[in-house]
Amino acid sequence: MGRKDILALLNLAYRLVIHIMKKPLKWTKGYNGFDAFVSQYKGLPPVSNETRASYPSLSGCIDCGICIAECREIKHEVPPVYLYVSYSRLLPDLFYSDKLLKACTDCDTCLVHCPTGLHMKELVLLYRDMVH
Amino acid sequence: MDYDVIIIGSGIAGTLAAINAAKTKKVAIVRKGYAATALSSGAFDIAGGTGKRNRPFKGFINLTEAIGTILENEPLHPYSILSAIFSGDRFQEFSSMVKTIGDQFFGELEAAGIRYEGSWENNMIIPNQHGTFKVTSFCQSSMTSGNLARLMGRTILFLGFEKTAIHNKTRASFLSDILSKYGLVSFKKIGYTNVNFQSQGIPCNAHDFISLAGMMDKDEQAGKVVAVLKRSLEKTDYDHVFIPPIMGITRHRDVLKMFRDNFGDTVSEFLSPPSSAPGLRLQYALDKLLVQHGVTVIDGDVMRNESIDTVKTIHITFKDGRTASLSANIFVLATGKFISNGIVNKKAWQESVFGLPVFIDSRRVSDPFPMNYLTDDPFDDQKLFSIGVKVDRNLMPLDEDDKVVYKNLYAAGSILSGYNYIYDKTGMGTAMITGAKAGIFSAG
Amino acid sequence: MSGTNGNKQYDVAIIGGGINGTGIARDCAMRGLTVALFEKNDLASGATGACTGMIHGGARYLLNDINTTRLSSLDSGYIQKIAPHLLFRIPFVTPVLKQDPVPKIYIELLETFFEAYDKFAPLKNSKPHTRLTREELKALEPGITDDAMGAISFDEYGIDTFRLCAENALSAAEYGAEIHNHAEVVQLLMADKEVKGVRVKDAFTGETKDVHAKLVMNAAGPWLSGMAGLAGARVQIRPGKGIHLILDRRASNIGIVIKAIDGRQVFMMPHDNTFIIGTTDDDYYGSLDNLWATRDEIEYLLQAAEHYFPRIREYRIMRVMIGIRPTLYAWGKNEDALYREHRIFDHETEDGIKGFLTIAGGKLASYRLMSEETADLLCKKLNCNNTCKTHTEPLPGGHFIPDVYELAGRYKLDPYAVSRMAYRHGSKTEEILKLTVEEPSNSNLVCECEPVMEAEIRYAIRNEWARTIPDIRRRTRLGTGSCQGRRCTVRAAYILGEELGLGSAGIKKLIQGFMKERWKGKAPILTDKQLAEEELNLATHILSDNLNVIIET
Repeated sequence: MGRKDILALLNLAYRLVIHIMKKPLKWTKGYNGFDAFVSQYKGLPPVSNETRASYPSLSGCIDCGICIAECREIKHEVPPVYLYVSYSRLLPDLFYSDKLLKACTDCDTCLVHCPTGLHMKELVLLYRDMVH
Repeated sequence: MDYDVIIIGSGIAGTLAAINAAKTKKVAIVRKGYAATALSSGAFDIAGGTGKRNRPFKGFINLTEAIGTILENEPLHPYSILSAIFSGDRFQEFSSMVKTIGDQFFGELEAAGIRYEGSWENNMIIPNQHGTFKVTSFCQSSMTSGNLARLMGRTILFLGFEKTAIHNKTRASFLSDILSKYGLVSFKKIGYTNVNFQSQGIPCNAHDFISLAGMMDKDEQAGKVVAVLKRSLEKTDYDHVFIPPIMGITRHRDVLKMFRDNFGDTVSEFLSPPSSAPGLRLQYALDKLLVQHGVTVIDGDVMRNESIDTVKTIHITFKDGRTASLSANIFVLATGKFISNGIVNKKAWQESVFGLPVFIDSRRVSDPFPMNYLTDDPFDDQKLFSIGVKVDRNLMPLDEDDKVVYKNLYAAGSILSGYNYIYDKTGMGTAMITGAKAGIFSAG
Repeated sequence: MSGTNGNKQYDVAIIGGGINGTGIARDCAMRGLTVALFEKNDLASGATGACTGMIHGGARYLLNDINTTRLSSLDSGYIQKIAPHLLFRIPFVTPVLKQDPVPKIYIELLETFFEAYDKFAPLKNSKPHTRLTREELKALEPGITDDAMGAISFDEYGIDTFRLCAENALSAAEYGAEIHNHAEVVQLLMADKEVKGVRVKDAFTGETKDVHAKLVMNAAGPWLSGMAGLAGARVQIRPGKGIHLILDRRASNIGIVIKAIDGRQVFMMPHDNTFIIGTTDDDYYGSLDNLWATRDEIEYLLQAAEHYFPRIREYRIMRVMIGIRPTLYAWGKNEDALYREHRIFDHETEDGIKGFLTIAGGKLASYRLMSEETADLLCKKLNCNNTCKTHTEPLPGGHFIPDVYELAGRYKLDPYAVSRMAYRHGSKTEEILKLTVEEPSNSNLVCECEPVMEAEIRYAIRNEWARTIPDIRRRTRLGTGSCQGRRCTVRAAYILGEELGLGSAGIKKLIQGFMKERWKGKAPILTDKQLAEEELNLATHILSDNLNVIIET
């Protein structure tokens, strides 16, 4: 064990002493890790249990484009398949404007015909949630 | 019993089973969505390959010869399995059976709005969007005038649309280069041009031709598109013009007529990869046939079913979350391969609805690691894509010991093992024949 | 390679176009040296392209060398300044599980550790750690196992390694360096015990050419031992194979630090618009040019991920990424215990071979520092007194971050497509967007998953040395989405064919080359959803296009 290793361990030991001493202080301040985290990483959308549970099924899109042909409302702005491909692929700060998503009338035409049985309506709702 | 026969899956196989069974029985089709048929190019491969898989392409392939090669060399192919019932000249009898079923089916399709053309002797050679060609047996009539075999010595033009997928001179020269290299076809000239629809006030989505095809179902849009095409083609002196597949989806017949009135048969569609309007067109026509034959269509996902000996009921989840159970005397499995999750790999490879064992080359496979059944080169014949259930000559799924698993279950289409439609190009033909036979068998 | 001047003597010839090679090229060129770089495949096609892609502050070195942590953090800060467009912040949580030994004490020690790391946070523009209770953790990431007792958060930066490498090469070229990819060094020009230059073979034409240089710098990564052997020198490395699983989308926006069955640390984290799980670390003795992931490696990662994120197997694995680390040689240690240290070998002092140096080991996060150190040594040998500027001068796209919505509005393009381009090209975005005005078809989306516009592809071919579709993929992320090249391969091949003036044989080769390259990453994980996608892919390229049977006669 060299000098550097010993210095490194001493540093950590020193930090541990400070950590133990400061701990009661932190409690009295009413520290809330969740709030601290959320305020630090503002761009991150909160994820509900239901949203997370629906994620694996979103991956089922095979980019076949049937829904492009089926869609009556939004295909000239955002083809539905595009939503599937991009949902949750985006970096947190990049979303479609909700103006486009409002064009979807929940008519379910695309949903009935998706070869892999995806729930397009659910996705559009998730998207709207995310944008708000 | 809710129904006499319940069919799972509504592609070519499922639909043919349904309409054949519906002649005498009360039939329902359960499906979770459109089939892989809707994603297909719409071309009808009966035997478009060389018989022997992966042999370098040398020339035009005779359809009858290709079927003969399969019957002779591939005992596990559904064609061979179905021809085993014939005692005389297997080839003759099988061919005439295929022809009977096919002619009848194409006749029905024509009544439903799509005319298929082709011959039972020779394949056609139709160019596609990627600048190569497909060898296929029957095509929608909006394409057949573009059979390259009859365009030798002509001048042809490839038409593309700006803002859609790329269509440039490289593609045209690629095709002419390949075809002339193989001594297949020689053209006087292959040209290319692009039409800009957006500047003409026609919204044209940058993603696929399919949205444009959808718009063509409306008279005023179709009129506009035809007018633009007419203007662009006025100054050219080409014998034949290939355009992307945009001649409508639900109202294909009317759109095609408009094109014929304006251009005769000098304008035809080329084939496109998914998403392709001709495939969706075919699916719509199949849906029409189901209605005409009084088949009930139920949109829902069939849950995993555990039964012994006979299938009594299946359980269905609808898209809104409701569930239901349906009973029938006979069931037909036409769920397709991977695209529609007919075969899944959850800890082991198996058929997804009844948990049937699956086979590659008559060998049972379960080990989930895909590389066991793949090679390191995607251009090889990949065995994994020939995985499927094994059936007897009545199309009833078998277990490892060649015993029938369920007394009242038939299987048809790409859920079957023994053939690999990607490489041997018999996909539509197999779906059609096995589907029709499964329908006939289940009708008793 | 046509640009190389046979009679010219360069100051430095660099072998290898990974992050070390391009980083050294940039540094040397900025100091006024004449530089030629040769890469046998493509920029970032080896270890660089297969690494985790993090610019971290070296937290693990807090356990044995504080100064390394300080330097790493400092350099992370520098890279943020020179490549602000390429970086994205990844918040991480380190969960403590019920199964961990004495979780209540473990979490205190963990927090202490990150308190110590917080001291370096200002250097690398990080947020201080937070401590999360079990409920808070579940609220932030519902996918994490119920066994988690709490967690400590911290953050690091992720980066597009392909772009980082390309931008270093671009910057080097701006300063006069010559960059040659697909140019393999097949021989070193030796005179007695001195290396006088390199013999280079063009991968496309097969032509060879001699290039003379005062110094030859071996930065060949995993291939460096072979290259040193050509000079008669011996540099031993311990090649370590690492694989990553890549998911089709962000399974979570938070990275999770997990432990594998053998206690090794593994990351599962969002990266760009995908999610990666990795890495493995195993001694590797096979071919360096033909890497395949094994079942054991894939299962090892999935099992580890499942332990912390129970539903991970239901997600879609799009591909595996495989690479070889050129770790410094050591006997008697586990793979994981090997430090990611680097060493520069001056073969004049080591083996008595003049004019030849080798750089081995190291990690992506400290590439700039390693390049600086190497360039210092090269300059000393060449009597050049100019000092390093690579930490102050931005990379070519790093001058400012463009306003995506403003650009999208002005050029009438999809803001999402523009934003992706702006991420890759930063301040150079508008230069590429201008191509869409010259030729409207340049605004076509060639790759719809990512998405990538035709303009960006033409730009990569004209200005960034892209000559194959995998090259385009590395420059633009074409074909890295869920369809894995189903829709874009042929389109890209035509653009490339047009730009390079290739005939049908050349175009076929391009298509087949890309399909084979993608297949390596796909085949070992082809199940479920990706298999459905692949059925469509093969139906497109083989059933319909006949690309398997249309071959050269």
